[in-house]
Amino acid sequence: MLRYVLQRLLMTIFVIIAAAILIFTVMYFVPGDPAKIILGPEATAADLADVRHQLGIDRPFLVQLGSFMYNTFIKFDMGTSWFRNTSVFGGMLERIPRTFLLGFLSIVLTSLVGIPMGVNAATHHRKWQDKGVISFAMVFMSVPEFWVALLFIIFFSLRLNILPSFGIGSWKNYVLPILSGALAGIGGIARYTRSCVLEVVHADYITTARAKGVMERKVIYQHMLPNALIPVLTNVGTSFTRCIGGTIVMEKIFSFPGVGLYLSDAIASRDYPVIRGCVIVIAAFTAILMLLVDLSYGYVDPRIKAQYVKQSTKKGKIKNVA
Amino acid sequence: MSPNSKTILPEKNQVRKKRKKQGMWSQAVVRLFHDKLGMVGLIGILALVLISVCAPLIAPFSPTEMDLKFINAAPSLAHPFGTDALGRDILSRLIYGGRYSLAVGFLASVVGQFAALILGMIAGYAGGKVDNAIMRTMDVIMSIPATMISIIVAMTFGTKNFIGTIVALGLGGIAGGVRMCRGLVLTVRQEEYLRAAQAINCSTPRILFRHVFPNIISVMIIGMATGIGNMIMVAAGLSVIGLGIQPPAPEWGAMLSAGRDYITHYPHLVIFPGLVIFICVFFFNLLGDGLRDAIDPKLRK
Amino acid sequence: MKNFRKIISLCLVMCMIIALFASCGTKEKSGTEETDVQTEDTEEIDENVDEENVATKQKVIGSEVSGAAIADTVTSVQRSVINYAVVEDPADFDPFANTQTKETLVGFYQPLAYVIKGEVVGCLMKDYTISDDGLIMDGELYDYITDTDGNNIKASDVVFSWEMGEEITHIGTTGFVDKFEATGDYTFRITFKQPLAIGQMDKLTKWNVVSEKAYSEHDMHTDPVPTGPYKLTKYTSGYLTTYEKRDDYWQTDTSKLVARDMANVDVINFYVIPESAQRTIALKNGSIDASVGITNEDLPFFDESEDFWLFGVPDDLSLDLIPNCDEGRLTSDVNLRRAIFYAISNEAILESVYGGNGSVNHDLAPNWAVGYNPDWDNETDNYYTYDPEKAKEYLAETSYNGEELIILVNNSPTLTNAAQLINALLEQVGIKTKISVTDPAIIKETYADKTAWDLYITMDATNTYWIDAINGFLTKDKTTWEGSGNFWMDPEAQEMINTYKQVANATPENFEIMRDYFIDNALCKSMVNPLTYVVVPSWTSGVCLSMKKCFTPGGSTYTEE
Repeated sequence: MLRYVLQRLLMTIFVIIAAAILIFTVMYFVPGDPAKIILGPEATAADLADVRHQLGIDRPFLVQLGSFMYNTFIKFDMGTSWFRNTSVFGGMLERIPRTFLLGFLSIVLTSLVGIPMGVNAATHHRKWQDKGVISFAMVFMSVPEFWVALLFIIFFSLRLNILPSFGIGSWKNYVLPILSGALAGIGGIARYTRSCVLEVVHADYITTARAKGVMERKVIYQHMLPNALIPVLTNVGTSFTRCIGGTIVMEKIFSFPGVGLYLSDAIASRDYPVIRGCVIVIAAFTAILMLLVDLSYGYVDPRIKAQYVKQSTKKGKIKNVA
Repeated sequence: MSPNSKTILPEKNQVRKKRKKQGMWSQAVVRLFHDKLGMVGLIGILALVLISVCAPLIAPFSPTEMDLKFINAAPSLAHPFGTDALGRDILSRLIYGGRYSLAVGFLASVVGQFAALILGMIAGYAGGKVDNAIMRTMDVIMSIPATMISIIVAMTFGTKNFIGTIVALGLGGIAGGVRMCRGLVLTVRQEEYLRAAQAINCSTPRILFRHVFPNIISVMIIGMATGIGNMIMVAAGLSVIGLGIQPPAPEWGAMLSAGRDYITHYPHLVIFPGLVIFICVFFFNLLGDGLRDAIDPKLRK
Repeated sequence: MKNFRKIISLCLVMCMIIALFASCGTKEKSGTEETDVQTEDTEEIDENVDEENVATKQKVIGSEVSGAAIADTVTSVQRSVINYAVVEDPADFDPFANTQTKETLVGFYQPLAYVIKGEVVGCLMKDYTISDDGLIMDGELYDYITDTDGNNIKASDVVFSWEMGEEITHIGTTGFVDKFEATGDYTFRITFKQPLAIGQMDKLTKWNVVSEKAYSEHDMHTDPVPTGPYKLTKYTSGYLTTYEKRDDYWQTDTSKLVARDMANVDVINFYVIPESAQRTIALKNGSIDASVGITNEDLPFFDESEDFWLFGVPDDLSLDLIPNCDEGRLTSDVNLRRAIFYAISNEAILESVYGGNGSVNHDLAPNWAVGYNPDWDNETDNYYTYDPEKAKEYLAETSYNGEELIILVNNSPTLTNAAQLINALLEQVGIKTKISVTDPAIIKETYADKTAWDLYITMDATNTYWIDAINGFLTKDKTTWEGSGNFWMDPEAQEMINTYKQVANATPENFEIMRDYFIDNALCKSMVNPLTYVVVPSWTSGVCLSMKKCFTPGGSTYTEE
């Protein structure tokens, strides 16, 4: 088990570092001279050279890359935003909790609504519940998120005036973004849950349980769901990676000052330190989350556990394989 | 001896395989025809494509004609979907916009699938270090969400570039596609008939293209059908940020994004483009489902 | 079959619901009166733009509280809270940062003086004298100025602030200022290289003064120490900035208090709302009391509403069409430039892009600029008068053969709308153009590249002074090459401008010469000077605007607490 953990951990660290190098290299080759962008075309050549030196972009590529990696990973200093003159790391610290809350609650809502829908559909296969769920899921999956967001703003903020449409003042500000973000996911989760449960429904051990005379309720909750839901929960876990990186458009629509809006403002003004910082944080978050999902999957799924336990018995110790 | 048998072995195999392939595809098509939802999707898509292609014949106005007497007009008999901020008829713009949106969605999907296919095949078939290198790179790319990859690539290419947008969209989902392709290649590699082909000294490219490819293409086609819908939505998202196709091109996402300044008093600017996107993606999803059920009956429920 | 039906019915229901939304509440814009441009129509444009229409678009209950109004003449109820929507997050409160044009920061720190319509009104500076030869300026500060930390501001702090301003903000005074030194605790002396030219006094009074000690003790990017009447009490990045009134504001002599430095509100909340539709919704909701940046389409609602009134002033910016005069481009041919300019109707652009909110320009600077000759508004013999026939005549004299010209514009909705309209208007006389929408971040760089564009549509800063506007356009001070920003390389222009901008030579006759030169060479066509509106609640009796036409809540007057 330890080997598995270590292996995955190393993989994660490698991925994060590689992502940082990748984004730095890509940004290096994006057209446009940062000094000109900051000073404007009226600047003299001397001023431009000055600013380039200040920003450190006149050094060779590898030196820049090296100092960037050192600063980011050892000193946790992701630089200063060129247009806001504030620390990128500080900006991220302020914004990550907001976006994370938004994404997290979105996914929780998606799961709370979608999974029961899927289970219901599967257990009433081919009846009206099943067809209803499939239709709704299909509709929800096809609706563009930000269109729904705009419609919600028109309806709840403008016509009914019960929810604010911008900012982060109170819990009310989170309702509309979470609602519109969750909608698309509900369809996907419902369908996936349904197909997972259906796969299990026809399994032999279910038939055996029923033949034994076990109550239907028990059949569903003790035998079917635990097996069917493992892949579903993995899916949900993986979808948490969209927590931080998937809210860019929604944040713009709701003027929600989170990581997504920080990033899109930076892209519009070509603020490289912020773009790099955002991408690295998102990549790190995703990689660490994947690690946790993999580890928990390994923990929960007895087959993987068994794989590793068996290996240790091969080394000579005799263990009681339960 | 059956009349079709020949003394030389490879040709016999090929003849048999051809029949098998034909059988597989025509069976799939027949199954699709019986699937009502899939047919709804297919007919819907064909209708949209037809409307876009025949745009000059169908659209009541030109997409660039500005009637300054009717700015931001609500839907009426003359303008069934209303007019936009410069007095242009929204229905006509949506019809012409279909060309842009469908083209972007289709091309981006094709680019994405083919890139994933090639990388997946190389990784799966070559194995060893090449495989490892490609998969580690995909792991790294997968740690960045697809939308962000599209954004970064679009930023590199610049905003005015049609080709840039297509490549950006296509490369977004590449990591998942490569993983899946590679997985399929690995499964197929173990099939008996591949070993047989290798035994008779079939060259590697030939194996790849004649034996591996047809099995993968069915998955690709399913992926493309749902992928196109997704591409259109991501393209619209890019327009909101300012990176995708920009006005005055009448692309659906650009129209939706441009309309969001006016939602307070003129919500029709946002409602109709969004509705059209929804309908289009809905049809593509139906088609994708239908194709999946038709091509791989094992997955059917 | 059931499945099929269910889905179809679902779709129908959704369509119906949405159609319901779409139909209730949309207003059909009543056809605006005169101007009418259709690309397939060859109707003549009706020139009768109703002047009165422009004025009635703003319902003025209160009035402008002039920035220069002295406190004794301005009465107001002390308001407890006002919620105001701004477009951009301040992010950086440093007095010398490049981001000084944000609404939250204008008026937060204080400069030496304010220049209001050409008149110098002292703020921190009590008095000043200029020597006879115009080369020396002596100034005296009030001796009881304190900042929020309690530091007394001395002349050495003024010199420090000037040096920091030059170094970090590049205020641009080193070109004409030789020396700036403190001559006493509260007196300073500025030595100029040449006698002051028009517009240079403004530059001397635009930068912020802070205490040197406070600057070294605090990181003013996040912890500002201003001398003004408000202090920063709360800042949530990206969302809210809160200012509270200072009880220990230094200027206790109310006869010297300028409206911009008054604190008629106890607490000001600046909410950051980048999306314009949301500002409108927030105003209607009541989350916000006042706001800028409301779109033209939404203004009529606030105009007619009982709870709000509109205050409109001519914007500091004008919409300009700038041709590329470089030798290698088609637009280097003056006849082509004239053809382009004659083909564009300023009135049509005003009507359709700005909804009639503003005025058309008849020269590079709008007609309220100091030094503008009102007769120019009535001239009909130059390209400020729309004349497509003349455009075609000039076009015939060029070697233009249907090539596509590139229009460069940034991606703001208003400017892209204007670009599309210009594209259509030029098409009518036979000039083909292609619109190149560019990121604001790299547009200045693209502008500086002479091979990348033929026509540039932009909002250019106009100026309080007409001659300064011309100066800004033609002078080589802002470019790294020997010519203007649009590659007009003529040393004669440089000489003319250098002469005429000096105070002694700024005569109406010389201005005519300059204008004729400009128009003969068709160097630029300024199209519209839009009105910029602030939507204020009905309990605001007077609106105070400070630098950059920013609404100043502290200086405005109220009728409710």
